[in-house]
Amino acid sequence: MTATGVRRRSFLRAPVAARLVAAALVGGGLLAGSVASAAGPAAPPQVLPEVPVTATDQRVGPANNTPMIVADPSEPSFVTLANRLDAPDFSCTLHVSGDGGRSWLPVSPVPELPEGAEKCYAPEVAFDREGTLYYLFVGLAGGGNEPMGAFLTTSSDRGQSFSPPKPVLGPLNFAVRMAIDPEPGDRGRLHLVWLHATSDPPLGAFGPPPNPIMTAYSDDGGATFSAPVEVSDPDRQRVVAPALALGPDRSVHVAYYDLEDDVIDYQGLEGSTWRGTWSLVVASSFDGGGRFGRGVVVDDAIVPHERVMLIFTMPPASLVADAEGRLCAAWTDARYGDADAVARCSSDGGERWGELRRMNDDPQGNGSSQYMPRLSVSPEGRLDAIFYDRRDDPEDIGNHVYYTFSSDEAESFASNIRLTADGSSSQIGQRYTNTSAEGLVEFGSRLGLLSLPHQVVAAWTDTRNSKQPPGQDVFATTVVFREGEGGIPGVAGVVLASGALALAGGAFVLLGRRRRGNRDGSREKLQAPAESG
Amino acid sequence: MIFTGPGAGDGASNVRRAGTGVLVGMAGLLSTSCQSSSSGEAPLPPSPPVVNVTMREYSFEYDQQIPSGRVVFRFVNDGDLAHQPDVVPLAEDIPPIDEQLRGETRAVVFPLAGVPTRDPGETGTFAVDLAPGGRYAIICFARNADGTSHALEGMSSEFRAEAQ
Repeated sequence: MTATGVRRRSFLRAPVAARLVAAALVGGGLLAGSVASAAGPAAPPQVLPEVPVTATDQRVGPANNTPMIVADPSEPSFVTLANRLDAPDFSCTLHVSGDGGRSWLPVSPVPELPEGAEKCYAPEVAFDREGTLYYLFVGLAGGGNEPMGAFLTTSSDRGQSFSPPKPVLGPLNFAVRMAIDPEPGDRGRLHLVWLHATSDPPLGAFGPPPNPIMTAYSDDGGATFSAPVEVSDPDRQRVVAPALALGPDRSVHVAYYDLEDDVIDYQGLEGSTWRGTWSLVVASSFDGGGRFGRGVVVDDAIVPHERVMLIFTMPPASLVADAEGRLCAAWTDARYGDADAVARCSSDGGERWGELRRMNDDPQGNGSSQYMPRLSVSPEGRLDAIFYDRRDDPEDIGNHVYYTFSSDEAESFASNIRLTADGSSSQIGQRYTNTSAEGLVEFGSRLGLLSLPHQVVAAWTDTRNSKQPPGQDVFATTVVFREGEGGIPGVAGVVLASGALALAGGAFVLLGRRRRGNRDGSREKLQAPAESG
Repeated sequence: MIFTGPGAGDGASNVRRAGTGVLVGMAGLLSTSCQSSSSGEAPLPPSPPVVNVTMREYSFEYDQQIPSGRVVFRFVNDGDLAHQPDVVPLAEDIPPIDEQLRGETRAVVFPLAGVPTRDPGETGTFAVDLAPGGRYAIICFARNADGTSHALEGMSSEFRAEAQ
């Protein structure tokens, strides 16, 4: 989901300067060689020390997960991270950073819950182009934690104070996502997408279809909204887990899963992992969210890797759009025998989707899980991805977080680099009594990823310091690129490339703590292209 | 029943909420605007205070002037043995931590936070929210192969978070 208002360049097309370099390499002969030499060998990016975002308190075991990071387009040093809290009670938090995500302080976006809401849940965060911070959350109420509405609060002083929360959606709306297109009107256009239950859901399940995915938008900062539009195809009966991405020229894209015949997960029934397949569908609007075309199938052979623990919090696919209308979607897929982080991209605004790319570079089918991928695209056009990864634990329990990127139109991904020095047990977290959740542990619905110029801020659920369930922290780190790497051309390279072109243009505890030397080794391997597909 | 998580009450019950999924906040239903001014005037948030704790045999070295509120602890094992530090809140009626550790009376305390065992050269970090004026101890819970407690060897220290 792309919720930042920062304008992005293409991740599928290399930046202009990089293309000049490429042209010189093709047409410049020996001169091209001198260009590459002048630019020097690409150095690996630097992974900064991990920092805690949320506070630990082992006496109560708060379970923080599902981070979302966005940067203020008017001041990119100001970064915010919203996350869900699953224990000791459902709640939500917000942290702010004044140094681009390298340190974090808490703020209180909802000091007083709106009338009727007993808990804050599942927050989303976005900025408009002026730097106003929007914080969206679902209010829960009653013994069953029913979603009684979605609310929006804003801050115009970098999180020091917030407006009283205002209702924007009524009850029985799930998986509410938010993003702001900074361009239209005086304040940009705020988009919402959500799953609307048409009947009271039973325990851990949706009621009989249809329970469609809907959208609406606001041109006045959330004061009023357009009439909701149904996004999901009416003939798709079991649609879940929407994701939202905004492209150029007021294009709006919504990805969702079609569970097809998987009633086991849709209705939270007893049973093992679904042995059939799901589809990932993207519906697009090219008039700012007024009308959506029929959904385009991104992939119709997705193999689930485990039960959906709770259908309401099912991790969505990750969907990003660049400034030229190109799209990429990533999801977890077990078609190769175990969970992999995979992606497909579209270069025509979502009409056709390219080959499946396997982003994790461990041996295919080795029994190691990579899951819950998150994508983001940098202003330079670099496609960034992170995912949970258990390759370092033979028992396939301990999570690390791995990072990769693509600078070549998503044809290949860089060798994966581990971001975490310590692993996390995926068995530490909240457990639910629903039938579908038996034996599973809630580790959240997404990771956080923010692509900034020359750097990437990543955040994840972390249990390294947890001595007992369900304590989960959110940790973050920054990956810093230097010029000449990650799709960022060095100045010398650009100048020389231009000259060459001109001439040619005449032509654990986890499960195993790891020592620092290991990380360095991972970094050294970063530049080699990864096998994909 | 939608969720059966914390605070969800009896997981076996089936509480239903009357009402329909009516959408609110559509055009015209809400008339009050949210805040709209630019955030450019507001200062950027500062970084939280960081307490750097160096662990050696057998001591913790750190600046004991520690503010209350959000604080980040960073432990560095600069010794030759593995260490396992925890930050523990202390009630006011508990004797000084060294005396408590060596005494015969045991008070039950629950760690606020800690890092897993750190080998020489390794680091660990966490964030905590310290109560204003709160009394805390840093204790190493590691033991040597002969059973020697690092805490009893001297790896315990008290500090009080500053009042706001």
